[in-house]
Amino acid sequence: MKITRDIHDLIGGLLMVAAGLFFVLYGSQYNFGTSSRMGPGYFPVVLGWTLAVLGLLVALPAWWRKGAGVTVQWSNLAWTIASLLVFAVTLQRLGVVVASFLAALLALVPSAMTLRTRLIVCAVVALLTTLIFPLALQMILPIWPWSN
Amino acid sequence: MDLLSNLWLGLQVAAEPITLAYCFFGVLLGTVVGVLPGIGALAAISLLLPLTYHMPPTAAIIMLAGVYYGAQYGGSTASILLNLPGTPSSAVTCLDGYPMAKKGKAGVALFVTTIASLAGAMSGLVLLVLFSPAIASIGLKFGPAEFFSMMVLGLVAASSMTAGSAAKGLCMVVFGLLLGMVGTDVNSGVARFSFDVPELMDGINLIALAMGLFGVAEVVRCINSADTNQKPEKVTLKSMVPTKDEFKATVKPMMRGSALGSALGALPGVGPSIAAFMSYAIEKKVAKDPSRFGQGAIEGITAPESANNAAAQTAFVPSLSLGIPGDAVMAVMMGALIIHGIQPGPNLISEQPDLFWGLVVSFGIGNLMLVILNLPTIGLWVALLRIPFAWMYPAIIVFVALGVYSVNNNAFDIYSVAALGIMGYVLMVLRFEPAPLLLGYILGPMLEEHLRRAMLLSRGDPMVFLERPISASLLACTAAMLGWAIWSTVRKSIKAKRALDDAERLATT
Repeated sequence: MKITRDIHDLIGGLLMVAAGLFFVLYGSQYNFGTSSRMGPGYFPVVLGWTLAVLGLLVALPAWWRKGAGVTVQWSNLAWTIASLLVFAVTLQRLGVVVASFLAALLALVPSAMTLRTRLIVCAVVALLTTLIFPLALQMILPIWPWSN
Repeated sequence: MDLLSNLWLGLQVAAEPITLAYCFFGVLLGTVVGVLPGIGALAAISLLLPLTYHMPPTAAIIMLAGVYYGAQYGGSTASILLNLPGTPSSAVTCLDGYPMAKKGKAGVALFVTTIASLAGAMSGLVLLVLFSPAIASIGLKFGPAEFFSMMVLGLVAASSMTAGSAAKGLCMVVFGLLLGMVGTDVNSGVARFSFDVPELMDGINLIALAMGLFGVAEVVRCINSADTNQKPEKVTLKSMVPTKDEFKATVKPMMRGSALGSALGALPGVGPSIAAFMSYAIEKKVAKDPSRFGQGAIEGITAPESANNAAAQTAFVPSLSLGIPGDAVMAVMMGALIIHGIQPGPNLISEQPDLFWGLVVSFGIGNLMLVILNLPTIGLWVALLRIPFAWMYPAIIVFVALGVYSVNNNAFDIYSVAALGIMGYVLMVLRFEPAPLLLGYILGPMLEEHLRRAMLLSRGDPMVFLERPISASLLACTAAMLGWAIWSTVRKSIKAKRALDDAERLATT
């Protein structure tokens, strides 16, 4: 039997170290100042070092600890993000109705639904969104592709 | 009496029909998101935030607060019926609530938790009314050093008292503080970490961050859990009436839970979840027969439910009296106030009495509304739990995208939600708690500002934080908390190392 270490904290801690060092390096281009007159770089650089040290404190003990493997729901993540991006791109060009229908359709890809329910859910989403945002809340948005 | 005239003022504000309507809408939505596992109060509040721009600030904050404490009521429903906590703070309610439901006592459990919630909320409210003005008058004497130390205490408390490891919580706080640095520095006008993206000059959008961390990431995680959907039993009104003995057994736990929750909630960084966990532990200690816990002990649901509702009310104490939010939800609500041009701080109660007292009275009204909402209409909420998640989440995604878009009418914010959603999901997979991150993000600029001012006044001498008594005692509390966190982490690590060694020895032989 192979023993897995606590991968979560190992990866997480190292990511935090990387993020901390990034803020330190990128922040060093700003004026550091003195402790009585702090420049814009002072606080971020100090915090960046703190984060890097804390990240080490997370990662090191994880090496000596048993843990389970990491499970990532890749397809859920990918389709949800795709749905957001498609909505962002199509909103102004195709209007609320089409954009929300498309976004809902993409978001539903990882679910196990029959095609008919899928289309009904998407239509309901498009209807609700149109009723709530441009109509009830008076947001200025194109509703149809030709309303621009 | 001062207090009475203040409450009368509050009543006048809160009893206006339009405010009542917003309050009702808030608690209704709060119950809905509380009942539904997967969407929490934070996601709902950040979704509503853009809509509050066109509302009067008092009505806006009354509605957002209603979502917050309404979710505490609704949270127990899913815990009892499905063994799935609707909100993090009602996770404890699963322990004894679900066994009760399995024994056919779901109705009683739902009734008792609603009453316990009301009792807790009301005692928290009393504490809020009595102490906030007093704390605010102490807060008026605060200088930048005190504010800095108070915020550090809140941040450390929020991170080291989470369920997971303290080091990870602290990582999240510091990471949040760093994200709060993005944008134009108020002192020098330098655009920090903006990567020459004009939209980032104003900083990372609060709503995009909250929705990415709590909306998108939760949706991604819950999509498939919908496939294994359990169907809750129907609950009749008749089954909700507890017997005399059951009712008697709940009175004392309710009082203990309310007292503990009220006290803990007022501390910065300690939210409803911790209050609920601690009160469960205490009930188990004082019980004559602790083995009943986990098998459907009625005390095991009443005490935590009154504790988390009490804490949800007193959590407003540090936010409204000092302007220092104790948890992430409070932080978002502070953000809402700031957007309306109201600077939270010790002056808030005296400068905006109608806002403070209106809010306080609306809590009372809102809690009564919640009892009415939760008892006779329980069938409706049970029915809501029968809707598969797959029917709802596409709408959540579209609402998130449109909600964040509406802030600046800029598609850039939707792209940031997507990016921050990925970040939130990565953090979730790696078991980092997102709430301290959000708190750090909101407090970051304030913390830096107060640090800079304190150090400027002391001419760069850091001893200023230790020479002033209030600041020194706050920092001493922080140090004690850090010390405790370090000690328990070291102890846990040594134990884990032994377990690993043992396992490896077993694996090799």
